[in-house]
Amino acid sequence: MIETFDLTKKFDGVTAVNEVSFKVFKGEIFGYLGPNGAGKTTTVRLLSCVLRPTSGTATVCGYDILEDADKIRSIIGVLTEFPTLYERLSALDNLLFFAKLYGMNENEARRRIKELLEFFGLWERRRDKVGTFSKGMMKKLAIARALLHDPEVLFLDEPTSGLDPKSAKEIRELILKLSKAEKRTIFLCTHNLFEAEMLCNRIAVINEGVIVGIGEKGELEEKLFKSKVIEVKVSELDERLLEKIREITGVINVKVKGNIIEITVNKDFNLHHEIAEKVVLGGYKLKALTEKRHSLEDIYMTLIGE
Amino acid sequence: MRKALAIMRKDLKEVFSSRQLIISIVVPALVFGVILPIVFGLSFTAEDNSTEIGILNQTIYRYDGVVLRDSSEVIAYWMMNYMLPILLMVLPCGITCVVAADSIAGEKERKTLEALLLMPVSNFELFIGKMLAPFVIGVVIASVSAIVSMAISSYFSISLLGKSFLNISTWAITILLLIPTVAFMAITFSVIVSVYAKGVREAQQMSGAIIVPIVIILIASATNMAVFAGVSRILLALLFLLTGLIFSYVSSKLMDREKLILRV
Ligand SMILES: Nc1ncnc2c1ncn2[C@@H]1O[C@H](COP(=O)(O)OP(=O)(O)O)[C@@H](O)[C@H]1O
Ligand SMILES: [Mg+2]
Repeated sequence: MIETFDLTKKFDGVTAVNEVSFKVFKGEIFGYLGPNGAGKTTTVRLLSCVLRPTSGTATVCGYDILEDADKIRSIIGVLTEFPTLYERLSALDNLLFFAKLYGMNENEARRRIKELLEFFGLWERRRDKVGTFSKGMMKKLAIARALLHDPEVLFLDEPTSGLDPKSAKEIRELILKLSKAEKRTIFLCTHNLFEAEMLCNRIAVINEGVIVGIGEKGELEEKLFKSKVIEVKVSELDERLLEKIREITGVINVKVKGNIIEITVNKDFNLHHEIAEKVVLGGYKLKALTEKRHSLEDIYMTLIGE
Repeated sequence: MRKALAIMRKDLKEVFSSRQLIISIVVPALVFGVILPIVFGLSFTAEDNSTEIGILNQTIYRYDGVVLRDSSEVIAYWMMNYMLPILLMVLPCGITCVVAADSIAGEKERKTLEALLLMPVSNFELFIGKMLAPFVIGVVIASVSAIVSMAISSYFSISLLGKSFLNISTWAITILLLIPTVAFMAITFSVIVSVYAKGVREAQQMSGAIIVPIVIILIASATNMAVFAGVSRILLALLFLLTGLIFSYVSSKLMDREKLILRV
């Protein structure tokens, strides 16, 4: 659905996006993660044809961002980072205006607006000025606007930033619903790792304009870390057991936390069985054995070099 | 063009939902369309020509082919058909600039312009659409004020001098040619300014400056000063139109999506 080829954008002095290449597949939620100033918004503006790349190019739904800008604008929906609704106008007037700019006729527009405002729980407030809305309501209305013309790709630039936890949760659920029920392709910029973990199929991490990692979380973890941690919970333990575990080839480090043994092992070895054997055959009582996954936070922090 | 009209309608709705903007449109309209003609009208004084001395002293003045009997009539004629329409030109200029600052620089300042730039609207439609509302408001308000001020000054002229010295053809040219061309020049200038201005206030101050040369040129032509001596209002309208066309050429070169976003 989206493919970029060495996409680059320089502002005088700053390279905001630096030779970025990635692919977003149909129907997925693609997470675009990075700290503030990483180049997320600039990437969205390039893909939505508001900014022109300094070099490189990209296609959205097969259309080139340099040549088919108007076509692309008519088949994508964008939730901008900052609210961009007319606060002096009502919710209905806002949506009617944008529907007209999308070339929809009055009846079609009204039907679609009713559907969307009901979906987002804003129908009752349609005649109120947007200036009186809460931040959460504004985000919802802005997402409704992005969906007016039933776009093939939806860009969401930090959809939950600045929202209280309850509104943020509502928005996340809405995004999931949009993706599941309607199979929309969603490009989601965020620096909220919890959100990315909950919503995204694949992620790209961008830092200072450069993509430092891309793939499913598991793939990134695989690529990034040479070791994994196995946690063994036992009823009692002693130095003899720890020694036995240390002797297993592939074990890198053994740490004890209460009655839990944290075993760092080389990720190329599959040692679950062997470890369990040592415990049980040594006469110890094995209560649990789990492989600890790296959190997205570990992955992210490693990628951006913190 | 449908999309340009949609932008105009949206801008008009926004303007009329802001009390502050309504005030800054209505107050000058009242000052120049009502208060000024009243103040001028009250200063009309009839000279007594009925006495013998009066008749002896009588000289005939001709102005635009109109025969005037004494200096007070000359003054009244001059005020009604020269000063008033010239001062009224502050309206198509000032009001257009105020509305343009809100609807162009204002959208930039409030960041809503980004949403507009994301729409499948051609640069040309965007350009025309954004100029329409300020132009229409400027022209309509100025024309209404002009008609009101014509009525008021005629009333004073009839009641104090016995007859109306309103020169209809002068006023017709003012309303039909000068007001639209002045507003056109103001809006095209405002578009250029709004590309550079950081906010509404700055845009207003910068674009409002265009009033000064316009009024100076008009006064120069009315008082036979310098190169504008004897230049008719039709020629002046042509001059404003031409300048507006040059401004719109310049602004069409400047108005591009990237520039508008970058300077936010
Ligand atoms: N209009 C602009 N002019 C100059 N520099 C900009 C502009 N927009 C963004 N930048 C710079 O580009 C970099 C990336 O910004 P941005 O894409 O907004 O990051 P993010 O959305 O990831 O926080 C930043 O260093 C920012 O200062
Ligand atoms: Mg951003």
